Amino acid sequence: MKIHNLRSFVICCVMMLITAGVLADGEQDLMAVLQSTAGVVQKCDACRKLKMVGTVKAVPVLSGLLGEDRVSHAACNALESIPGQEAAAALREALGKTTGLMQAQIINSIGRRGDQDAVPDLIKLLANADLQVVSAAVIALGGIGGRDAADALKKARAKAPESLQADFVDALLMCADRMRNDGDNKAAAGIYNEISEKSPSDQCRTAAYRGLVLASGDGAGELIVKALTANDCSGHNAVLPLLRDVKGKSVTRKVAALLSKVPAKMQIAIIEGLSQRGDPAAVPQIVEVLKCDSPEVRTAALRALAVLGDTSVAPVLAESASKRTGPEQEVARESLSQLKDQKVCKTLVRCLSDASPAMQSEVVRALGMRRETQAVPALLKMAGEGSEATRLVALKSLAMLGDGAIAGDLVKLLIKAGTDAERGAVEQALSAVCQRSEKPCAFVSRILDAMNGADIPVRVALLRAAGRIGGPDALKALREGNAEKDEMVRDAALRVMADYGGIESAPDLLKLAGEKEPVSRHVLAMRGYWRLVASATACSVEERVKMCEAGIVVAQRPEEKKLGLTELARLMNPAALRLARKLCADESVHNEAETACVRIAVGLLGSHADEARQALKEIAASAKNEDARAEARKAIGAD
Amino acid sequence: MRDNILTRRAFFKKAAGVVAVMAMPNIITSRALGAGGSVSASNRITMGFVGLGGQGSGHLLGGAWTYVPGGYIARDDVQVLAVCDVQKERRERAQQRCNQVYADKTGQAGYNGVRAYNDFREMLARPDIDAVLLALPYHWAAPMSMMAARAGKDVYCEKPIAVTVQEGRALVETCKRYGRVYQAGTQQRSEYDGKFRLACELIRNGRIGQLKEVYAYRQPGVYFPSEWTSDKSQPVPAGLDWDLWLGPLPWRPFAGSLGHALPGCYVGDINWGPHHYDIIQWTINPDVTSVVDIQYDGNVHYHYSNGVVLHSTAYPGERVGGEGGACFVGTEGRIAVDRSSIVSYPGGILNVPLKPADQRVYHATSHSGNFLECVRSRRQTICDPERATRTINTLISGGMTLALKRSLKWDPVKMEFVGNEQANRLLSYTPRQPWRT
Repeated sequence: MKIHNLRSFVICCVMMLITAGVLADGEQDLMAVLQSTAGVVQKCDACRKLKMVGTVKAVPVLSGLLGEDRVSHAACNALESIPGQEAAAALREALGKTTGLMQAQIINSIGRRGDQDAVPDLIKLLANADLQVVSAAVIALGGIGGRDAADALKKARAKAPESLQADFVDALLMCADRMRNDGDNKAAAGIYNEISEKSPSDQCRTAAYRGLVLASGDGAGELIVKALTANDCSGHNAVLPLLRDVKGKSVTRKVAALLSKVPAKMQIAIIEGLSQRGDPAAVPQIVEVLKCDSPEVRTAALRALAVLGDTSVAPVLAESASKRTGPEQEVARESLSQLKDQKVCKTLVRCLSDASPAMQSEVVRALGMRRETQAVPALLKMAGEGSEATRLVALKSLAMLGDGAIAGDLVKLLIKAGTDAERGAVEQALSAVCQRSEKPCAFVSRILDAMNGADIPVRVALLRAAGRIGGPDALKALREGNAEKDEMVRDAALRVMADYGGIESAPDLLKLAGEKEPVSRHVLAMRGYWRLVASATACSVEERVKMCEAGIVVAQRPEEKKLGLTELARLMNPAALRLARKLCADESVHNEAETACVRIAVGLLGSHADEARQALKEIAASAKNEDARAEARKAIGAD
Repeated sequence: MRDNILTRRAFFKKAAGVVAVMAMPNIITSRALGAGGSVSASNRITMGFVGLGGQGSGHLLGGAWTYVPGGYIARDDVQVLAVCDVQKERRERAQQRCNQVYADKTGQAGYNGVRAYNDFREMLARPDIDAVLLALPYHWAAPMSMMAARAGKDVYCEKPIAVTVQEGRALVETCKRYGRVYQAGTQQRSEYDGKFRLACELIRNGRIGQLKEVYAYRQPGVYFPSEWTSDKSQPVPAGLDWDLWLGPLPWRPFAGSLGHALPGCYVGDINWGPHHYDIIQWTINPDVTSVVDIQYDGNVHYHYSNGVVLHSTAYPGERVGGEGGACFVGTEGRIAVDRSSIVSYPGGILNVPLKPADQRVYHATSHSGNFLECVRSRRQTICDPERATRTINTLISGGMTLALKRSLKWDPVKMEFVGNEQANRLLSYTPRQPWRT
């Protein structure tokens, strides 16, 4: 009677816990759930928790579930993680009590535990009639490994159906990999060899050959060469990635020697592999390949030299860059710019003296790309003495590398320059090096001094350089330039002011825009003025509205007013709204003005609700721009 | 409930039918064979696409974020042969669109060279497919990648590339064993105008001084299933192979909708986290042999042996970093980077170009382009299995501290926690038969 009551009490408690949804976290509680009449959900959840906390105590309860539909998997999941012989033994024991998928599930867990003691049982299952069970046993044996497992797998594979061959090979490869890792290369090689020679599947042969190479010690190089020279893509796939991993200079030499013997496609693959191998011993053969006829092969070689080459390949790359075109030239230039050897700068400078003009151009380009600041004197020399093409490239490099220290030299070069292109290049270099200095404006007066007595083109270039640098002296010179009689000088002064002038140029540009003739100067000044308005974020909104208003007053063409309205629409200010509303009456810009009104008014709804709503109402009622009307209606909730 | 399961036995029978599929005629025009300046058929990489949701179909057919204009189908160096999804409507729509693209391209109105599959194993059994692109529910990524590798396919796999440490380890071994090219879909290494690479190289070359702290803007994540909520299955829609969708996961009833993951299986963020933590691993370049001390205080803080501390939180006040990025703080400045922006403090750090002698990282300007190039050259991709697994292990190890709400120590060599058996028991789960992980 007492026992009966106690049992009822326990069952009631368990059921209460379950029905109340209370989680049972202690091992004992979880076991109680598993032993109860709880449903699948509760039992699976208890198994899930026992995976984390279960001990040997939980093993009998879990193993009791191994044959239970839908819970068996959860029990396996828990047992797989519980350490100790008891869990392993329980899984082995369950092998004899289950069939089909459940048995396969248990086999899988045994394999994942790496249970050596289960090998004999698993070997027996290789003869099972159920292919799912055989497949699971094969994979489990592969995972556990060992000679017995490997021998059994080899034997059973001979009689296995085609559909299981991939599993057998995979398992054997796992066994062989384990043997190799344990130092038993001979046994491993036996397995690899057999699969490599007999398997009809490319991927299996690839995997086996890879293993064979890795298990071959000093013989690896020969095997790699053999595969690369054979017409079997499985071998290529096996050994090309291994060029990264198999060590030894002799391997590098053997593989590099193949470059003269294999077809173009394989040459490219080998060069790529040698590049990843990172052994400079391959450089001579790769340089030799640059003489071949295939642009693709030469390009691969040029790319590899960036990784493997030292300073000695710098002239080779420069020569290729000077002789080749298109993508090949680009790769040569890129590789030259990436060579890591610190002596490259000296090598390149040295070879400037006897190089062809085309190669000189490439060398000075590379010195710039490489940011070789020590090369500035050599570049200055080339900028003065090289061919015209070389001079231009040298000036570009100087623009990247130089600082104010060479400003005087560049001024001299500018005075000497014979073409517009060269003057332009010096002008850009001059402004770039000055701007790189701590006090760029300090160089402006020297540049402007050089204008005295100079020809008009030189004066123009110097004025442009000074204008780009900026500062009070430059602004004064630009103002004077705009008043000059010479049209070229006036034009240059206005363009520089429009393109590069700071906010202090705004009144000048506005004044120049007010001069209606010639139209071209008006247009340039107006364009520059709106650029300044757009960039005047440091000014207050009120000041920017005033700038817009002043600009719109002098604007002549609708396009110019529209630019002004674009700026105005960014300013959430009542004065901006009033100006935009005023412009709604201008037929040439009413569309843009109405759009600007809506945008500004929407932005002001929070701070200036009355004025903003009034403007929106007007737009909603009478605007010609349909989109603006719709936006306004939406904003005031009229729709 | 298991009526529609394709058992291994059933698969063995079905596989025989693949030969018949292969034998069906497929006429290819001279253009497909290389005329008119296109890549010749023999030089094209033949591909199959598994998982045709937003990500997968974006890769296949193009989309705003897919980095390949018009998708892989538009590439001249790729021939799409197969599409696969457990949802009939998705795979048939993709098949139809692919066939239409090729019909337009080749001038063959009835082009039908793209096959649709419900069961990816049938697709993997085709020897004429070189590579597969997998955009799958999280739990399928590693098992299917390994099956593809064993079938001799090169693999592009969307993140998260594995959901357990054991899966990542097995993925590395399998790809090595079969000599396969594999790329993880952590596109930030290649795309976004090189912003992430720039940040990585500047930091590795000491431009912010010694790196001290990193802010990840995302929590890590881990596979940590919670209890079921119901044993009742909603009706499985016609055309959905629910059992195949579940695959190796423990069986659960269909809850009425499909997503990237089975609800209730994950703690933290294992979806976007890989982007953040991949870039961070790339940049920190930690000693992969040293134990990482992972502190938990509601957030996660990784303490690396080189003194760098990685926080799962945002850098206070810094907005840049939230979109797949991070903020790196050094002794002389900091750099924050994400998909939209890169900023430095002081600002000049970004303006000084790197020199040839500076340390560089793997350079690629197109993630898909890098994958295809590596398929041809057998080179390692920019995010190969080992790199991808290190990233996912960072997420999993940190995610485990979130799940267990306790600090842990992670040994990256042994790929296990130091002195915490409970956490180590969760490094794997038992796959449901007939699947392997």
